[in-house]
Amino acid sequence: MQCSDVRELLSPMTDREVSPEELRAIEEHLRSCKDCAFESTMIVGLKGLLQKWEGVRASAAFHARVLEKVRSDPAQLPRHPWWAALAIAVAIGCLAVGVAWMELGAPEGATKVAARADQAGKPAEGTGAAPEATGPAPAAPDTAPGTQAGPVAQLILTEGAVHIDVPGSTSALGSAGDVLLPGYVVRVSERGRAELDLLGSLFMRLEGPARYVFGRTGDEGELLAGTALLRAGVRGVRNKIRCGGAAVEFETAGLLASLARGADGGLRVLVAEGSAEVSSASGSRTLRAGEKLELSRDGSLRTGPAKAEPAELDRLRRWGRP
Amino acid sequence: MARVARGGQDAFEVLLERYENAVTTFCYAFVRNRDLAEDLAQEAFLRVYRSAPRYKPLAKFTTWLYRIAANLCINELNKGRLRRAVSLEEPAGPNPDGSRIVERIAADGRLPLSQAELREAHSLVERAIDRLPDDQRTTLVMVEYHNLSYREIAEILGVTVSAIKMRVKRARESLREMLKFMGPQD
Repeated sequence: MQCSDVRELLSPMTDREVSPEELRAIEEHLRSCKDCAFESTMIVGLKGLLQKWEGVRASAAFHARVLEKVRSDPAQLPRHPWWAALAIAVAIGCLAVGVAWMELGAPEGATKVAARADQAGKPAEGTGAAPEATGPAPAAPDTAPGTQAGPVAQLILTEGAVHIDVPGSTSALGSAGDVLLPGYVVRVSERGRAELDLLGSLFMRLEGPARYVFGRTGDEGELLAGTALLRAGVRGVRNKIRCGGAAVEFETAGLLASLARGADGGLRVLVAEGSAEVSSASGSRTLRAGEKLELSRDGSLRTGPAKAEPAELDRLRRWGRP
Repeated sequence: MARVARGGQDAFEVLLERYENAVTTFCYAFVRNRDLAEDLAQEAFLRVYRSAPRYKPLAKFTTWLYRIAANLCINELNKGRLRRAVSLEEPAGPNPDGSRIVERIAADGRLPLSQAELREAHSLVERAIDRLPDDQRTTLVMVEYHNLSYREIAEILGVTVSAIKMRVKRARESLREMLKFMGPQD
């Protein structure tokens, strides 16, 4: 091993980040090279000095402050899931709005605006549903900017870079606990992944590179790219996920499935448990447990429905196991 | 974490006690402002608490915890609200104190430093770390203070292990240079 090779590895060596073979070669070199040996002792010395650093201690009030926040947090878990409280609040709000609507009469054109928003799967301007259109990116979109469009999902876990794109605004890095509103797009970097709770109806894992846009509710959305693993949540509701020219519909009860958009725009659907209906330009088909099919970009059937490989099903079941 | 998920505030308190300094230091490495670091650490713990019922051990708990904190810090930095708390002026000239302490420890790590030397060492290290470029500082603190592996840091920051290896190496080179030029009053 040359001096230049050894110098490159001295820093990782002090962190025990070299292989046993590399370590042996470095040690052999150091026995015969005084310059590299000196360099090594300096790096070890620096590490010793750094490890004596005590870091930044939280202030005396920090501990009590965090506990106080937790106690007063509206999302007191798990006895009162925040989404349950929110659902009640939204229901009461909707009832109040509905009563006022009937009493006062709907403003001209409001229905059309709401319908357009539904068709686009995005909040429409002027409905009060759109997130902030100006100003700095939210650290995490954790507040509902309007009353008509409540949260549709929550990020549970992220690995690698996961971004949340806010329509009409900008994007922010997502992290566990972030709440997602209609129209928000979750982007997962290559080799990254994001686990999402679609408010009880489904658990979803997006594997990067992936993009998923949320529809009007958590029960609908569009997989723009990448792979989505789907597992039934607590509710048995009907979900619909659009994938380019195709749509996959399913009852969430007992579902365990995966949807994968290929680089060519095609779609691959695999169902391990439950069943799903896949509709496209070439018609509608029901996939049952243990089956898969593939569609081309234009919605034409490429293969299937056919029996899925056991290894594919096992992988899905390993993820889906509680 | 499982006990926190089952609703135990006591369990959360234990978790908080165990990691509060570590998370505050982690956040400080990003933002270099103690008050802001505490605010971000507090938010990170709140998110951990809220997410506990849905937590699945896909990764080490600490990797998950630091990932939450890192995202909060990066978002904060991206917002551009942060004002640099530390001057990044070039040091005035060489001072042997920093490198002397490094050499002393290198010569015989078993020899304890005197209290005065230890205080001096802490002060020097903290100021030197403050002056590192952002990516080097955060990575080096995760290696030296949090004792995280290169792979864990890569997962937390969403970059490659090779990038982490390079950052740590450069951080140490920068630190050595800085310590040569930093004096007690610098």
